Amino acid sequence: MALGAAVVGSSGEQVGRLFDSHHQRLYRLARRMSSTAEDAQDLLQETFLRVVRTSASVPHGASNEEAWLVRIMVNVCRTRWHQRANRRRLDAFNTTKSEPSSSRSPEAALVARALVWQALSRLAPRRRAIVVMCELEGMPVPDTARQLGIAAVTVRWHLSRGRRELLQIITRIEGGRQ
Amino acid sequence: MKDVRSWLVEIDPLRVEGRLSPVRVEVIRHRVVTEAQARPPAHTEWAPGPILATIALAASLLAGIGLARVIPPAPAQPTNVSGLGDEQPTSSSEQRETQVRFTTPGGTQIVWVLNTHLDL
Repeated sequence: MALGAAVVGSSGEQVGRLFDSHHQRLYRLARRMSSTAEDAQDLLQETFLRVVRTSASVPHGASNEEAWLVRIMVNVCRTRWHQRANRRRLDAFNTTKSEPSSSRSPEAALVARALVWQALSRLAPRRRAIVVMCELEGMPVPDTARQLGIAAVTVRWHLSRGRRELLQIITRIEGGRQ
Repeated sequence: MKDVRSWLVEIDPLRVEGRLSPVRVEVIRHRVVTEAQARPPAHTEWAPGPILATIALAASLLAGIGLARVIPPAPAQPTNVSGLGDEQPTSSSEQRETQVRFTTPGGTQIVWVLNTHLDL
């Protein structure tokens, strides 16, 4: 029971304080999980708008606030990801047809990077968040688990699966370069 | 062959773009704060639910006690429990007490004294 905890829904000042404290960290994660900067900004905005609209209580403490906001962001991402499922299947079909060039030209490097980025984008939002947080941001597994509100073993499993899926793409790219 | 982490570092968009610009930060912040200010205050610092529930429960108890004092106790009725021995319903000379008596097949007499005013 949240007696004594601040409820955010009605105070612009409280939301502003939350935004000022956490928007940079959330944007970094959003950008690494989104295809474009515009999508990332939209994700950031939608996360805080969901905070405004929810009647849930904000946890006490900066680290708990951040974890709570990260979970909201991943849920927003997940909602959008499901809504775009059909379009993703079409993109996956097109991706398998565009194999990386075997040459070492700058264009090939760009295509290779785009393919890896696309593979990352195709991961389910939670798995993508785990790969970004653990691999790219260097966050330890227990901290990642705490932020996402899941068990450490679940983080390790998603991390393993995410690496494997990305490695399949990378192996094809590297094989094409040789 | 580069590993997954090396590839992720290479494709990291923040390496090129950097932080969110102050202009964009302000636009998003304004949008969010405006939405928060436009919403009616939904809750106070303390959740009212448990307090209201406690008040309602206390009021119900007080109402029950009050009614018990106002409404006179029903006269003692003979209890007709089949299979048991003789029933000897009596009513106490005092109006506040009601007695129910019956006898078991073994001959044990059981007397229930019901105090309608809950005096112990």
